[in-house]
Amino acid sequence: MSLESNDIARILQDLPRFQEALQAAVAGVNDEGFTGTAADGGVSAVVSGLGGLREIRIGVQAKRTIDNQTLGLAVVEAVRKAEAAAREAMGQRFANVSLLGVSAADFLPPEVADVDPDAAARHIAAIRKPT
Amino acid sequence: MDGMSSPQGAFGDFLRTAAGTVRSGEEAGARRLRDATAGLRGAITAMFTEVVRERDPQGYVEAAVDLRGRLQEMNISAYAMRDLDADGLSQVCFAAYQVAAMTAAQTMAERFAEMTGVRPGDATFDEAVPDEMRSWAEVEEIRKAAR
Repeated sequence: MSLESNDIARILQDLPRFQEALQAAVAGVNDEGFTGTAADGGVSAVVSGLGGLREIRIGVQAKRTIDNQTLGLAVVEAVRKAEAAAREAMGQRFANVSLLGVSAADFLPPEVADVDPDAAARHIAAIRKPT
Repeated sequence: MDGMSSPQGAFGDFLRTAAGTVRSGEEAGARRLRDATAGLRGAITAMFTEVVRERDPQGYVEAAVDLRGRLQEMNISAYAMRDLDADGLSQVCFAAYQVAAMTAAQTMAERFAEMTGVRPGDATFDEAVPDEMRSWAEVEEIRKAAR
């Protein structure tokens, strides 16, 4: 497949709609909070839409029944799960934003969204003219 | 370029190798450029995988955070379990993370400076372009002026 003049015309035509959709997808992303839990819900963590840690909460029961080393591991596990939830939500936000059939989600870095890390390279290879 | 710093570290090596390759046009240059690219990639990877460790101000808990700010470890001391209730423990865990995340951000800036020779407030990247890359910088200036 190669980029034809029709494709370029379509890209230019779709660009304003693409930019609007992208801005809508990004709006307020860092205001959202995503929660992850560990130790049967005894430990929880909240991260922002971009994955920044906002809160760690250790429950009374967890503190009473779990030893210090295991509790530390549970905190990390809760944070990991919260980050994963944020990445998944980010991928969903961008999944329906596309240009020329290429989803914007495929170009998000894997640490920001749960996406196929090779998708962007495949799209680029597909639209590049053969030499 | 008088009085201006040139990029240092892996990034500087990469720019100088790229400039030399462009100048010489020799075949071995392409291999050197590939090696320099691998070196730069390695330096960036090392930067992102580095971990810093900090304690909360009271010293109860130690958090390990990578330079992207992601929590890697939370080491809760036996003293924390003895002295603090659940709310207090939650707070010192988060405090340790915040201190470590701040150190991570500072360390990231230092590593970036080591890699490029450019620190915040120093010469801009354009000013730090080495002499042999001057023609590229001039092309960029022309491009900017044309906008």
